Amino acid sequence: MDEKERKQAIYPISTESLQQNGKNVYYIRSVTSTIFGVSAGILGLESYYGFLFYFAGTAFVSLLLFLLLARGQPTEYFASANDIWIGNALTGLSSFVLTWTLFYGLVDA
Amino acid sequence: MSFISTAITVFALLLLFHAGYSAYEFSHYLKHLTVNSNATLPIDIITETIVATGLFALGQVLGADKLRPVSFAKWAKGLEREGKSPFSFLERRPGYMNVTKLREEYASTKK
Repeated sequence: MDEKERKQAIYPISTESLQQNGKNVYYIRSVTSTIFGVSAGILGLESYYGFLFYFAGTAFVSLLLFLLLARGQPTEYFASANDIWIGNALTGLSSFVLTWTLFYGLVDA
Repeated sequence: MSFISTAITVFALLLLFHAGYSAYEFSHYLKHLTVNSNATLPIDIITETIVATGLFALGQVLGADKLRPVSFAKWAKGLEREGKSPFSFLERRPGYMNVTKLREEYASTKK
């Protein structure tokens, strides 16, 4: 039994709350990335700048999640601290591209 | 969702709608009224869009359900406070009930 397994045995993790937290974060990521797409379209961003905008927005949401939702202690609510920073970071990319292209076309009179 | 987060989200969406409409009007004017069609989006529309996006994200994060502690001990403690302990079956064991004592208690309250 290695160190990690022993820790797991002494301090077991509740999978139910792990799932619930994951669902929460997933929802926020999807909704915000849709709106990021709307703004990227309004700003008329093209090619790499649009994706840069997406990653900047995702980083901003990660920061908000870290500060407001997890109150600076992500290990209290997630299996590892990375889950809040890079976990789910790409889930909203497809909806981002969808609304980005849609609003890019809509705004252009 | 609390009132403040809903208010922030609605305000952000209104701002975003306004920014989008402004951008549309701007490109409209650019195409029909001017010769210079290389002009970039005015700074106020850009600012409005970015502020609206940031506010929307803030409203969503503020209005999200609270995270639950992932440690089993803390999670079970929270449930126990609500009276839904995952181990409640261990605390109710009818086989260990002292029926005689309970009947005596009942008789004494009847008097």
